[in-house]
Amino acid sequence: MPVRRIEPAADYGRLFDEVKGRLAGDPRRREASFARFRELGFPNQRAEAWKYTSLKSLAENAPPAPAPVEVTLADLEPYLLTGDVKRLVFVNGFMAPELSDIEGLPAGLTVASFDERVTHEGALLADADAERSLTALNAAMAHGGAVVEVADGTDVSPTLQLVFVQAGDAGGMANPRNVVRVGAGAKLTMAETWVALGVAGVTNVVNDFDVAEAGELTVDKLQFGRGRATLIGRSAMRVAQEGRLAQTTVTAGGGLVRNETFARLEGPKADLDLNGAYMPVKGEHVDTSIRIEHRAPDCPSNQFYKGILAPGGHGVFAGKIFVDQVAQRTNAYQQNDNLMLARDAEIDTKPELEIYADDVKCSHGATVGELDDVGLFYLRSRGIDKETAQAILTFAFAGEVIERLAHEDSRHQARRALLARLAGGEKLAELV
Amino acid sequence: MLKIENLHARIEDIDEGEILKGLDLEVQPGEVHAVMGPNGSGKSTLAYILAGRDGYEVTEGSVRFEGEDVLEMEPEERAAAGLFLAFQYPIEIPGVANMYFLRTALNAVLRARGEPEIDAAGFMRRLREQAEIVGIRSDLLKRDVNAGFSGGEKKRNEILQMAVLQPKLAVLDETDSGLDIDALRTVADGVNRLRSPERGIVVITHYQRLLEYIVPDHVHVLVGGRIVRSGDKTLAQELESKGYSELMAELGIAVPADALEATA
Ligand SMILES: Nc1ncnc2c1ncn2[C@@H]1O[C@H](COP(=O)(O)OP(=O)(O)O)[C@@H](O)[C@H]1O
Ligand SMILES: [Mg+2]
Repeated sequence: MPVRRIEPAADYGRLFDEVKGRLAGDPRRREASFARFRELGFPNQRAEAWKYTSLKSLAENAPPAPAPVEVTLADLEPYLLTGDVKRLVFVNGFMAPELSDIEGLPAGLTVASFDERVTHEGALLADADAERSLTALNAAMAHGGAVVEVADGTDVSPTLQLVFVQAGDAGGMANPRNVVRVGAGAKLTMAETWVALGVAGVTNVVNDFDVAEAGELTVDKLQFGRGRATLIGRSAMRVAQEGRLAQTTVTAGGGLVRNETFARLEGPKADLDLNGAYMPVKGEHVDTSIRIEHRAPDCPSNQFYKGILAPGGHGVFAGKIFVDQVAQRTNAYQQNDNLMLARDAEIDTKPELEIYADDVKCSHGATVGELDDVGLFYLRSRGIDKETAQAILTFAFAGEVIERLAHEDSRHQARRALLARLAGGEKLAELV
Repeated sequence: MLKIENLHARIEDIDEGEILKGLDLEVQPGEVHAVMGPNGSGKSTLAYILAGRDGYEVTEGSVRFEGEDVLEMEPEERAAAGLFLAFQYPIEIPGVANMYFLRTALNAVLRARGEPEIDAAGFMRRLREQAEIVGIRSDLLKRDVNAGFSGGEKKRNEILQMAVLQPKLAVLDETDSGLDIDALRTVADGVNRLRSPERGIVVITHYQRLLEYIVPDHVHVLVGGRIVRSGDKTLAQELESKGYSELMAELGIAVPADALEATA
């Protein structure tokens, strides 16, 4: 059997020793998770799910322990949502009360820091994905993140923004963990924002989202990386009968970004909607890996992802739809469209279906194309220079995804970030 | 203002021989020229070459606009110089609002000419006014460029772009095809408003119908990649009554049957 693991560097032991003193919760659980992580090791590229993404460098070089770094509201201003918003900010995994605002939460909404909650509720560290080494690593060192609960029937009006900041160039590793539970018939809109202010560092986040019967969770997931900054995230999602979860991800930067989603539609008519846009530029690697399991009848699911591959950028999309034999009348849709802006850009896209029910509607498609020549000529024939015309068409390509972000500020931020990455984008500033 | 001499052109990457085979055409300011010809005679090829579309190779001849060598210019430079092509098949651009497109185009052209850009309010006034004239509903201005427009709406949108950009020389490629009589009148009206002593207009058409509304100063018959006859507006009527085949026979021009097939 081929070896599918990379031995973590010995320095991970040093890292664990350094951070464990400040970790909340049962130390024995932490030790056990760390042992599990060492045993599993990092996945190598022979593992199907990691075929196009290498963790070699991360495995061989343990990042330093994270340290609190001073960050001001002004630093974060471009990434914050305004208006009716409650906010929790974590810097390198450390909660930053002076940057947060969770005063006066509406009745029915509870927001606590993960560290505070895990002290009494050891089960929060339980591993849903016992085979996933990065989850085990997170469980061993989880520090920071939020536990959010919406009581049954509560329609939460403020948008809740969770901000994870990677600050300083020291390159520490943060392991936040978020738990979001939306009660029966309850409603919550949130934003999960990742910002790299420094050019290095690693965030290894684990999310657990649970939507009860007829509950509704909407998530804007915004990722603003830079330099070699690395983000590896795993979101487990469960949606109960007639519940709905809609998430839109926009990835604008990061040396290595891996977004994993593992979603289960557990009750009839549960509805899942996953959208995303990614635009890796030179030296960046963005990997989207999705598995949706239809475990009940009459569930719709939708994946709509668009990639813009700038010169030297590398994108990966692997989306799998699994339909259990009880999941009759499943309606699953998946589309991944990619726009190549240069020959030296790379996209690996792999849609996959695994269906055990006979009465289902499933469609999947992947396209890889270039800018439309005729459209370009049309714009240029009206006087618009080539670079601007290219920027307009590229930007328009991502538009359909950006429009699905729930909060207006999210849409502005996403547009601004994409334009900043586009040659000639500055000329389109009014489109933000 | 426009001088085309002995223009020969072929499609790149296709071993089909020349489409234009020695075309001459001269347009002076203030003139309206009609170019008529059967399907496949090279009308759109001529229009695209004037606008600078990729994929054509000019093997011989020249095109000058106000003394400049047009063939050396990028499409956007041609637009800035005052050339405009109304497309036979306007392009849909999903994700780009019509209004934004028009303003970006206008400002690009103004900038290239060293004129001040127009502010948003000034632009809106100009746009509303012109949209009214060419009969474009205001919701079409907010929609994506040509996306989901009917055939007629697309053609009107071309005329709107022309009216906003105020080119020196406009080439209209079969702007009449697919229009009902009301739309045809509105479009013709939009074109007629642009007629001026400084402006040249080339109307490419298959039928004589449009020329009842846009009365040309000169009519040219394009067959098989060459202008085979020129005359005044009566030529259009003659052509309408005789058809291309009879006219060609009279001229003693042998034309392959397939070049005339769609004209009966
Ligand atoms: N892109 C192309 N590829 C191959 N043949 C072409 C292309 N464009 C035009 N042609 C051919 O060139 C000839 C002239 O076409 P066109 O200029 O579109 O004619 P018209 O506009 O007068 O109907 C036709 O025979 C047409 O089939
Ligand atoms: Mg044509």
